[in-house]
Amino acid sequence: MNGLFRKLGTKHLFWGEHMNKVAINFVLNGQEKTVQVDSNTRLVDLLRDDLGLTGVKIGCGEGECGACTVIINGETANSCLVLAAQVDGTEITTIEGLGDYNHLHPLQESFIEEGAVQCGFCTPGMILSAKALLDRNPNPDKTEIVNSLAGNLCRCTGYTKIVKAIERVVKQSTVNPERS
Amino acid sequence: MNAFDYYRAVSLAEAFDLMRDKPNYTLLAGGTDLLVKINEKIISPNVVLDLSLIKDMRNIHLENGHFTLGALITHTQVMDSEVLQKFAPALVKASSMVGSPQIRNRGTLGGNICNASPAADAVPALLALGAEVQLMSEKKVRTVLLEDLFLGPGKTTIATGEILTRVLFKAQRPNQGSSFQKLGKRKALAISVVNAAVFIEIDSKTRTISEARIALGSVAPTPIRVKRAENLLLGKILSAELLKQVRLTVASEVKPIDDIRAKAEYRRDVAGELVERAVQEAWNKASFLG
Ligand SMILES: Cc1cc2nc3c(=O)[nH]c(=O)nc-3n(C[C@H](O)[C@H](O)[C@H](O)COP(=O)(O)OP(=O)(O)OC[C@H]3O[C@@H](n4cnc5c(N)ncnc54)[C@H](O)[C@@H]3O)c2cc1C
Ligand code: FES
Ligand code: FES
Repeated sequence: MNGLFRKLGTKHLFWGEHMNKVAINFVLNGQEKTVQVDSNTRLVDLLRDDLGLTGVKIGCGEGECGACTVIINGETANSCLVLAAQVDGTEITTIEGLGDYNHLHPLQESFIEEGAVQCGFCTPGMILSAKALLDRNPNPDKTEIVNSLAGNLCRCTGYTKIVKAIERVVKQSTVNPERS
Repeated sequence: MNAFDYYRAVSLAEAFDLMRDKPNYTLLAGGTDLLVKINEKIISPNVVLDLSLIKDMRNIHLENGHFTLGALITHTQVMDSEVLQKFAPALVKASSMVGSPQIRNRGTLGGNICNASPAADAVPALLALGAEVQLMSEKKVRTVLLEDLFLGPGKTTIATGEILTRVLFKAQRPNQGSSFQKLGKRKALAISVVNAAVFIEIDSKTRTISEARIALGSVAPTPIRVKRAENLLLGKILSAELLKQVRLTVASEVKPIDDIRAKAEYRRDVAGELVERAVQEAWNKASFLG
């Protein structure tokens, strides 16, 4: 892996007319990707515009709203504050990596059941923050759940239903551990 | 976003090579301050040099009562560190109150310092702990007191060619206590209206205060220590009267300005109030354990 990183530090990775193109390798929702990006491309733009993952939303573009949340190497990040070039060598999960129409992730199911989705703009980010929490701590209390959502704003629901939806998954997985 | 070249160093040696070759570089750590500035076109760098993979700058090290923290450790790492929780609780509290989980996962201690915001949360905590920082260039290493690093908002004494590599301070002993207090505007993501950190040592024989440091953010162009208030505490036992004096002294010693987040007058009052709480908490912890 080091060899890969090292290459990026050197000039010959920049090619063509533009000195500022970069080739990156990363794992996206379980699949290996190799793409070429402009060095000033934000991760959120790479994911949405080049890779078609429109579940990643752009709200504020400055780290405040969390609509652009993705999981990088197990930790949530605002993809509007990350350069695409920086994710070389990492593993990324977006909402598209959690489930699909026929096989919803327990968090997705629970958000629907609890009515935690209104306009839906904040939902992918909320669910990814919740997933990162549950991966670290499968049995969080309410305060821990609320704190884990501090970087995700919702203008519609008032958060109560979102917290309930996450609590429901916690309860289910303690009854039925293989589901989480 | 303007066009720039992106480089990434995996070692300090590689970083220094690039910094020599591209003297108009801009350093990138977690990017939570820098990318906001680039997105909003406040700055337009030509060359961005990413330090975030330099392993050597990612450690938390405790030896013989001295902490050495790599500048690249994130606020999340600070919060999760058991040794820091035990021996530097004010710093852990400050890092835990930065932004949101997303911001803390990427934002680094070094970035918080080098960004030189008067509101940076980790800085008053580190000032109260008496921290020093190590600045390294290709040829030289120098260690400076953190309080001597800041010149003004966004301005430090870090020279071209230098990287802030480490943060150094002493682990707290049982007769010492520390506290961090912050007043922000919203629950999360709040840039501090005022923040304060206090460190106190109690002499185990006389039970009086033998060492005190009080630091504040957002009440001057840089985070500051309020030494008149510190001196009031020395040699004394904490009392309601002493706390009141400290509070008034702090309010008169700080030099806040009006801005969009709060009025100067309000900031003075809050500064006094937060220091009072922090002194009380630091004293309780020190005397309880000592
Ligand atoms: C939504 C949001 C909320 C926030 N909330 C808070 C908050 O509550 N409290 C708070 O204190 N901050 C807050 N911040 C600011 C920021 O997250 C922190 O200051 C963070 O610690 C910065 O670290 P970084 O690694 O991301 O810095 P970067 O953005 O990578 O760098 C910041 C600056 O420091 C320089 N730099 C970085 N590392 C080094 C180094 N090792 N040597 C020399 N120069 C270096 C860079 O060139 C740049 O100028 C917030 C930011 C956002 C976007
Ligand atoms: S769009 Fe990234 S945090 Fe709002
Ligand atoms: S459901 Fe609309 S923003 Fe949350």
